[in-house]
Amino acid sequence: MIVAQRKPFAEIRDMLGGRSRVLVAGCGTCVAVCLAGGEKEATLLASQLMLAADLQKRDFLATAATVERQCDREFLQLLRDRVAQADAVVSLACGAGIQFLAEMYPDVPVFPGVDTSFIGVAEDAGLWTERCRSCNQCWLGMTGGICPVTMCAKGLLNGPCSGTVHGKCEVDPERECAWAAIYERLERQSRLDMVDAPAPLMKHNRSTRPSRVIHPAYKKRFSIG
Amino acid sequence: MADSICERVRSGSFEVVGRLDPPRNGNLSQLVALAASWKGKIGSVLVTDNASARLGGSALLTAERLGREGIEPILTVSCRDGNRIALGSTVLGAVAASLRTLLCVSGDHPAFGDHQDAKPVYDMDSVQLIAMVRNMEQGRDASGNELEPLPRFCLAAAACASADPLAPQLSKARKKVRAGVDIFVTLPVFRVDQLEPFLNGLGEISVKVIAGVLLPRYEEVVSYKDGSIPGTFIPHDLVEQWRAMDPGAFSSASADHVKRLVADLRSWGKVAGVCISAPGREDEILGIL
Repeated sequence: MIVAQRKPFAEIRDMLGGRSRVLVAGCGTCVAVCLAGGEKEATLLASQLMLAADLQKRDFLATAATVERQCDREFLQLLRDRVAQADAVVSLACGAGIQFLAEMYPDVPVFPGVDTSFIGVAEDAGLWTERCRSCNQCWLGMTGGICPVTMCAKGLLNGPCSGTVHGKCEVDPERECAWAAIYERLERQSRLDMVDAPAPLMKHNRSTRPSRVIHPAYKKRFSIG
Repeated sequence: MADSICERVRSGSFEVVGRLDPPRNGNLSQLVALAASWKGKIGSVLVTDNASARLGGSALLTAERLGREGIEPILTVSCRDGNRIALGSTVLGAVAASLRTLLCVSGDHPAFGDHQDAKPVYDMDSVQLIAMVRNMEQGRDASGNELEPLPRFCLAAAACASADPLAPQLSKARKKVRAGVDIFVTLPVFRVDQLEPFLNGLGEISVKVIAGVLLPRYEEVVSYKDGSIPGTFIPHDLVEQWRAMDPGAFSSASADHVKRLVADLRSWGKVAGVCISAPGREDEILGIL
């Protein structure tokens, strides 16, 4: 899932400037699971904004509305009336959802309420860790299911750097060295021949930003020419 | 120019390399004077490329200047700061500057340096960089485009002999050998026996190994813990001994230690030379020899 973190309140308040009718738009999928931008967080932020405005005795109204996903037009459609009543929207979706909402309602300023961090997993209660850089060329088959692009701080494809410290990463002693882990996993599976093969250069043109994926069944509909 | 470092180590002579970091002031005169004072004692000068991810002068320009002064440079090329186009361009620049020896490294992560928010590039790694240079010699760039074949380089690569675990490090070292490296320069060791597992693990290969040695600064030793100097592991008993000393005593004790180590490595017969690093203490390098 996509993991995000709520922006500090002061940053959100300052972005809104003097706007007085604010819709806080939550997203019920990834950011809800990582407790950054779901229904509860949207309601909480709206209340925080109301309290802060009350302290300044400002005429201000913040309300919250959460849709299933902000990365889908059919759900964003449901916000039409609420957005029409607002002079600003704070979206708590990931960067993709925020942009899609802003694209759908281009007359209203949309502000981000979260910083989108990474594609990751729920490691434990309250702990999420990154696993994928969405490079569009998956290496996991030859690296024992551990991604060197993501899990190695340098994204090295051919083995560890010289900085490994007792099996930990030179950049963060709390983190395992990806290549020590890859080696161990492949050794366990008797597949060390995989690390002997030199990895080719990354094909960055396959992950040219912004990327686009068309399902084979829809090729005719979306392909140009 | 006489034989390159590759030819010298192949012929069995013991190579002494001294490391110099291009200064941050755009003025090479002190560096050139120091390197000139090493002539006859030091075979080649390793010119670093923004060592430890700290901003330094241009490695290519510094190496070119040393070459013009009749000093043999080893140009470090780091994957941290440039993509395959920039690195290919540096290789072409090295040919234009008549530089024949390159040290191909991935490079310390910016997290260690003085630009911690900088984008780490690592478009290629050291194995791929070595392969790219060998392909350029054959008339192909990193993307397979044709170019005029380049003259053959003497290619050096880094290796951490004290790595823990060692097996993944050895596996990568073997890849570097297959990619076409001529010489390994190890990260600094402090005792001869630190090299043994690495050399045994490499087995019979034609690639020569130059042992790195370091004359550390007092502050580095005081704040030392495993990992504080990337790839460099100072034996803990030595750290304790040095820490118990005042800066003056440390200065002479550490210089004596490195002097003995260089002599031991020379007589040991299993390495082809030493590469002496002494950032901030470069003027003490001659005394060590």
